[in-house]
Amino acid sequence: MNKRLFVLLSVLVIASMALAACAGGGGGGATLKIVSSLPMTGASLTQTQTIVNAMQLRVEQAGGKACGGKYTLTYEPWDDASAALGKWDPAVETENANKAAADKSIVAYLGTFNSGAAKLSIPILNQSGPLVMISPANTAPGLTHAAAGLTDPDEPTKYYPSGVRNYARVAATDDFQGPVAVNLMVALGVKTLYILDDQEVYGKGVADSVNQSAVKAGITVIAQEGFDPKAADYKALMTKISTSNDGGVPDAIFLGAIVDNNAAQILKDKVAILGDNEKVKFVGPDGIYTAALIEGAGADVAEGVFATTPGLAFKDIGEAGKKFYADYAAKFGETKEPYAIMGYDSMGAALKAIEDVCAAGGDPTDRAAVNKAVFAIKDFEGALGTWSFDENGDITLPYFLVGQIKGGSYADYGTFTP
Amino acid sequence: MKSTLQKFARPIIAIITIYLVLLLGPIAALDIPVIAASIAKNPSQLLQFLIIGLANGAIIAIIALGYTMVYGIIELINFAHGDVYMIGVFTALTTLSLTGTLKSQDPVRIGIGIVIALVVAVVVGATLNATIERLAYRPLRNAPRLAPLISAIGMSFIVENIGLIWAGQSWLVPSFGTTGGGAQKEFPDLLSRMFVNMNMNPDLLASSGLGLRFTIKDLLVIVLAGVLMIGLRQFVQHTKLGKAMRATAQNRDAAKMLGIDIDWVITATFLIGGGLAGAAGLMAGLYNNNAWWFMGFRAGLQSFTAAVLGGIGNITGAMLGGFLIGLLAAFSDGYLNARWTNAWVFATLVLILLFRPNGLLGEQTGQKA
Amino acid sequence: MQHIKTGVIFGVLAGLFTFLFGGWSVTMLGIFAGAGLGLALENKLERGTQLAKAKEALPVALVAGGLMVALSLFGNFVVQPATGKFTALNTIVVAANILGFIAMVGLAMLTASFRGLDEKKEKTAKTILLAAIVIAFPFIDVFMNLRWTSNIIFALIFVILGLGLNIVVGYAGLLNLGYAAFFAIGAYTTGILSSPQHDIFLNFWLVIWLAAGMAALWGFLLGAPTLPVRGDYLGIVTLGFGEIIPVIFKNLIDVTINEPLTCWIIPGIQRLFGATSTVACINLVSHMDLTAGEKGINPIGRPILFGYEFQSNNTTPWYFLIILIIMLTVFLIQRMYKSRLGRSWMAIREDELASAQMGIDPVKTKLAAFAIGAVFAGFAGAFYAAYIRAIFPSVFDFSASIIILCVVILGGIGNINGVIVGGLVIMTADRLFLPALKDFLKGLLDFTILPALSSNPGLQAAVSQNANPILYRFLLFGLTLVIMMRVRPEGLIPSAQMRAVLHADEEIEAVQNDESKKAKKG
Repeated sequence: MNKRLFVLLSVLVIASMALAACAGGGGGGATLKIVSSLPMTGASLTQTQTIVNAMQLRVEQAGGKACGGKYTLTYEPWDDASAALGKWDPAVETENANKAAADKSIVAYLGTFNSGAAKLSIPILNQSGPLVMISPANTAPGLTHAAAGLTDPDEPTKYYPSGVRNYARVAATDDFQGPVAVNLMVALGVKTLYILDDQEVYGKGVADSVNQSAVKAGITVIAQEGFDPKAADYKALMTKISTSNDGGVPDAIFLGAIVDNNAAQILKDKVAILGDNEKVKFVGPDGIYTAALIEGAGADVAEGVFATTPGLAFKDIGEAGKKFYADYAAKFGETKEPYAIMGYDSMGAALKAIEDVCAAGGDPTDRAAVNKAVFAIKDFEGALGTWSFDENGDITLPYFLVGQIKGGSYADYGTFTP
Repeated sequence: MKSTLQKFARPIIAIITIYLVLLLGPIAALDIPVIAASIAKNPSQLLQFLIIGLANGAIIAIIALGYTMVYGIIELINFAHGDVYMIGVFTALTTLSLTGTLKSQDPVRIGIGIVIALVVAVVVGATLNATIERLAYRPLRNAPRLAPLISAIGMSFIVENIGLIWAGQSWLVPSFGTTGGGAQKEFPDLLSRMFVNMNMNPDLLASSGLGLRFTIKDLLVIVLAGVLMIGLRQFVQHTKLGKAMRATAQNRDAAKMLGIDIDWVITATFLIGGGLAGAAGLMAGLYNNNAWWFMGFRAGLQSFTAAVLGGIGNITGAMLGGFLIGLLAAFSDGYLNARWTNAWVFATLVLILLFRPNGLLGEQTGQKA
Repeated sequence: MQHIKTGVIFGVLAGLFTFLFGGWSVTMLGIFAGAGLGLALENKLERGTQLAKAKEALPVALVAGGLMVALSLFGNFVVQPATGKFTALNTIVVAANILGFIAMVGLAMLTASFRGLDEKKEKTAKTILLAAIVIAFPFIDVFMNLRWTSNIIFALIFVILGLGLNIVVGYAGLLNLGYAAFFAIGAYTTGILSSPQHDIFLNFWLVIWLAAGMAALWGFLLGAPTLPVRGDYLGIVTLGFGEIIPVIFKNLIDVTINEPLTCWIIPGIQRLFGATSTVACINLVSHMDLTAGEKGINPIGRPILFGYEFQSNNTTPWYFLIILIIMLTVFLIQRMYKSRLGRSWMAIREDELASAQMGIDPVKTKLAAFAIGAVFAGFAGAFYAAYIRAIFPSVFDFSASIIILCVVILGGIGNINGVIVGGLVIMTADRLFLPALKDFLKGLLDFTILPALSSNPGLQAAVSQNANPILYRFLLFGLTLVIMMRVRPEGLIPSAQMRAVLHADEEIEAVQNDESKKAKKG
């Protein structure tokens, strides 16, 4: 009995091993997979959910097919946050990049949301294909190009061990956004400036850039100070600022932060102690160009706040952009989140590259070919307007929209250039 | 020989400490010459930071009162307490919204609305806290000492998530319907509006010419914290239930033998603690004008620290601890650098506990197993 | 017959898990469940011959395996399609299920048969089986493309942290709410000594010891002043350190140190007397970026072994490295536990005054607990920094300390095996199980529930907005903790002492209850 059982088991084991080996060989097929890696959790979910929705929308508009129906397109929104940290987790992002590297059907990796996360995944994906990465949101300049005083000396080469560039982004970098904010402040007649940052890569990066170009433009920077994004209020900080300009208030406050880092509370306490936004200007980057700021601070308090964001003023937006907002509203409800349109165009660029590879008679499952095609994108008719990627992978969209909050929503103030 | 050494030991240590502070302090923004100069330049600002610190401390203190009661009686760090406070903020906001108070300009109507919101927030906070006790702590009463701590952490995650979902419901929390529950929500400045509409200036010292800002909101939170503390002290000292609580806190088994219904006493403690958290939620909403699903985490941590700093189970101590934390944070924000505030607050707390190992007002009971 | 029940539990649980993961997971789960079932049976069975025991286990194993495969196939053809994933009956499905069944039955029988060996051999056999599974795991994982290894590595980092914290909290009874500070110190030591940040590139095999040493030093320095502080007050002090350390690492980006005597004490005095300053200010450090702040130190050097540099896309070497560190950790801790020092920890935990009277030096004993506990956090930090290749201060904040404490308490405070299980359970829940559950529920929602509601667009919109499982990740994690504590309040594998203490309590409780009942009756 025992012997027979043993023989039977061994036969079964060998048979299934053989089966498995056969099965392992097959696989792949006519599927092109695109994944996104964004922190889908509490603090960032407001923005990342709109990015995912927009990407989903773009794939659905393509009918889920590529290259005239030859390939099936699938999109998977991955999450790089963990419950234990409550925000993006370096370990999860690394694992996502490794997972994408190992799955041969993945041809594009859309992400990340946080620049710190991109620094981990770029080198991994760079050595596997390279697999192209398109970020809708990273603004740290060092990922793509050197900027004096803002990047480390070995950036960006240290992220590209294979020597080939594989990272492009639709978001404008801090070293462009800073001068735009300063140009705006010069136009507003600002002479003295107090800079606050949320101590994170994005917020501090854009604040550093503003600091640098404000000094160049002749604006006196009284101080740049990091605040604790978890504090209950900032009344003491604002009281200190209220006498920081030789006993008086500064002309303007620049807030380098995303809205989730307590930006609304900063704004409230600023208005309560320093006065309204007419008296002391309040300027911020695209991280606060969102309805969430107005919702958090209240329309009265937020009245008059300025924020810069890459792109054109709503009135100048082309047909494609208007259509995007209409389509998005029809499927997911209305949005004015600046990241939504960037998510849409990142996916658009990825799909364009795939189509280009097919049109040139190439194989869209070849990662290197897709990567090359992404960098070859020129004069792309996206929802943001007509734009290209330069050789560093940065978007060439020389326009920035400046919005001012009026009556409870952002109104176009004008289009600025760096 | 030994006595000479001892005689000089303290001054030498003091000098070395001062030298080290001067040497290393500036790294962490503790630059004494700079601080001295800015105080000399604008001395009245010192008073302003005092007011801000007291008002912020008052909110921490109110949460800490509930914390310390629960803590004193079952020696459990109720991690979910801060999140009950957060639910209090949202309860108040929702009540104010549903009663139409948020949009009202009539001072009487605003006043009534706030009172209704207070009652609802207290009831919801109390119920939630008692429910948490029933579900997560009572079954673990005979488990190892640290087991309920994990349950408490789990409850904290759960309640936080409830807040996140709540904040996303646009029919409960006024919003534009596009931002979801993760975003901060406005808690309108009803007290100032009420005062303005009664033709009074909400800034009480505006006409004094001192250049100080002391609003009706500051006054209200500080007074309320004081009243609650005194009320709670009287309650614990003089009522039957209060005495039962003290007895239970001292020795649960003995209290049981004396015929005290332990389960009821503990439930009552959680009800009171939760009610205080709910009230603190309304106050914080009116004071900081902000509602956020994540606000309970830091508030809980600070108020727990305040409770322990004051001496576990000591009501006056919790109050003192809360004010101390508020003041430290305000002075650090004002004279050091906001970047380092959290580190300085905790560094001071650590120092205080090193010199008073049982908290500011804790009894030196010797060893407690 | 009661053994059949165990089989049903293992089979159903393993089967339900296949719903979430699909693919090859049924084989992997078969291996784990088979070994687990075997061990569970082995403990319950009477002694006898090997063959008899294997035969005895056969029906149970067949029930478990059959249930698992049945559920897995049901999942594959009924449940998975409802979540939008359709897999045809291909060779992978057949092979995975057959292999899973064989693994479950075979391993359960094999393990159960160990009951037939004598006690010494039985233990050896179990160890060999465990070792075989641990060694084979990453290779099987790679073959099956499940990608569980990287998550297991992360869980194992927390196992080391848990083991270290267990010395402080479990053995010495000192509540520590800021243990992540030592994790941070280990990681930052590694980061600073082996990265372009300061152009220092020390070898990983050296740095890991330096990191452990640095953590121990800081364990000692931070532990020394806290000696008079007890109980939950100690918790607050350690929490304070845990809050301060990440702030320091975040902010040491522009360090300038001026010697105070020459820079302002002497000049100040001179100015007080109207003289001009004559001393030159000595500047010790000027604008140094020590820790790179929130943008983190990146990239950090990796271990190189016999000329092979560890790569992040090949997890197997990392897996064996961390297994090695865990073995070392467990070995060291077991030796210490049985030594005089270990007994002193237990003594001061139970009664500090009495143990001091017995000649145990509480100062030395407590400091040893702090410093030695920190050593293992240093190991974990060094491994983490090299594995992730970058470190950020926000990784090491209060939530990390809390998760490590959860690992210790949930696993079974004071018990090495318990802590290992606790770490694996909590971290795999966070990394593997809950994300898979989230995807599963999201698929179910999108492909089955929402289309079913299409007749009612309002309800459909409300459901799709609020039922999105992404919104419930904290809730799911919290529920996991609460439920596990309710089911096993003493931890998954309590230490023998804890069990004894609890039983004593229960007995007293029972007597009291009796008495109170009597009193009420009277």
